[in-house]
Amino acid sequence: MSETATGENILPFYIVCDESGSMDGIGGIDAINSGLPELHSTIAADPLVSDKCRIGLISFSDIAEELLPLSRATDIPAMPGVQSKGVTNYGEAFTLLRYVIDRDIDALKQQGYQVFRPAVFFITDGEPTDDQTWEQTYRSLIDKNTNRRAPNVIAFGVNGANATTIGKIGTVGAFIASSGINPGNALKEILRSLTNSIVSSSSSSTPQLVVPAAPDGCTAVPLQTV
Amino acid sequence: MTEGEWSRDSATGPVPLLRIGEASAFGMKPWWDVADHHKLSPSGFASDVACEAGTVGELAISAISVRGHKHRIDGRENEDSFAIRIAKSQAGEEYVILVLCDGLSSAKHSAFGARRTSSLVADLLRRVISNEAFLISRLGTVLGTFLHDFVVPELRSWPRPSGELSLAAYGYPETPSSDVPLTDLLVTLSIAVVPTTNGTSGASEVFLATIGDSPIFVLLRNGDWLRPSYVEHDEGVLTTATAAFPKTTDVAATQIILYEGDCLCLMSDGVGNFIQNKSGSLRLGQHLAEVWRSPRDIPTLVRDVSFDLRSADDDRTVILCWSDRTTQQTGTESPALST
Repeated sequence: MSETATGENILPFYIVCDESGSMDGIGGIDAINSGLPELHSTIAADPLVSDKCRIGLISFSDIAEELLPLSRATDIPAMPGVQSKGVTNYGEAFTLLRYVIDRDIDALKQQGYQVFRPAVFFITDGEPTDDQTWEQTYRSLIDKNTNRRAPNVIAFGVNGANATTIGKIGTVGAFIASSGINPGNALKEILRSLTNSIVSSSSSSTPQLVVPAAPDGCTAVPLQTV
Repeated sequence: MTEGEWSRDSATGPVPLLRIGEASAFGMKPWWDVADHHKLSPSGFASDVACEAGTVGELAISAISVRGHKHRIDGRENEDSFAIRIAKSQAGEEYVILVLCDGLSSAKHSAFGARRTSSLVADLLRRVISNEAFLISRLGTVLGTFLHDFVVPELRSWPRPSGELSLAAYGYPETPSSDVPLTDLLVTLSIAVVPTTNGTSGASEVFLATIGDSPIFVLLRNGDWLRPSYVEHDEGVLTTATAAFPKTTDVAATQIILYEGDCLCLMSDGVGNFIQNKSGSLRLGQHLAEVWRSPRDIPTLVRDVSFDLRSADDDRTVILCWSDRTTQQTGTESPALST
């Protein structure tokens, strides 16, 4: 560490969005692209939250991409958008998450910050297409015995997502859109819920993840072991 | 503005603040800015700055509490409180009693709980010291029982409204006390009982007790921070970060020797969290270790705890007890008087 630490608290949040082709057909891409700027402006306008939280954005389909490196909301000129692509490879997202979380925490600690356990909001509209391999990648991400930076994960599923799979991915919360609910509208509610969770989590003196209540049009699903 | 420097900033107004790291969202605007980050408390008792300072025996004592950003922005009260009392034992020994409480955010009336608890505990200790065959070495074994038997029953004993004015005018919750559960009054509790004169060796035996995570430090005369360790009493569980009074009355207590030149520091975590970590002193800790080696004038102390550090948004309270004011030199020059 180059200079004495400040002890400043950081609560990192990663938003992981499915941008598989099916997301476009249900209005999911538009919903996310209109919801992310709202999330950004809400967080940036709240000094308690913007001082304490950092947000990153990862998208996944055939591959995963880091669309926004972990950043302070006030340092983000505009939120990037997602776009419809290929299939739904969960494993790609978890592999990239593991890498960026390690990299980010190392960098923050190097700068003297006190970093709290990261939180991941995982949003998908379908079942994984890499169904043979994603669970192993996921386990290595969330197993606190082997990964001391294992994040808390809150999973949201819409449209073709399976409740059991979503229950496996969420470690502290899992929600699925009710059947008959327009998936685009459900995603808008999910992003609002996610924003509230970030604001509530960062508003307490000692940052702690506040798991949101079920977004409108969604129900909580039981958490499953992988 | 460079970290560690006192400097003036047009945004924060004419009062120089210590800025650590990059400016916080609050530090970039004056408190009266249209952003409304610093609201009055509708019920009063905001306690933006509360202070007591003075001398007793060989000690110089200052207590400062500053409302944190998270309560300013919501127009809520400072949830920290402190109480200071002086008591004399039947053997003629004089002690100062220092009590600091930090209300838990989750408790509905924690600001009142902190005010009430700190005063009641300080008064209890004054009675214990004055009326009993007081032995400081026995205090740790009986304090938990005293808190349970005498303070807990008093916590909710406030009168019913009788007339035009509501009880809020007196700082009580407007709810009848019978409707306020003890869990609405949860606080951390830090206690120090300090002899007002040092022994012939220049040292004095000090009693410390805590419930919860508000830290007590000794700033040693060499500039190091020491955090005493505690032992359990009253068959209770070890103090943890979540322990709170009156949910538990089991104190973690210890006795330490305070030497000439040391400064005993009771803190709420709004300050204490930024003193040191596992690797050593943090930047604020380093700075305060330098400037608190000797007593500070009161306006300077207010500025000391008004530091700007991102994420440090909780209420900030310190009680500082300099062990020998006669040998400790004034740390800062008196400000020049001007018209």
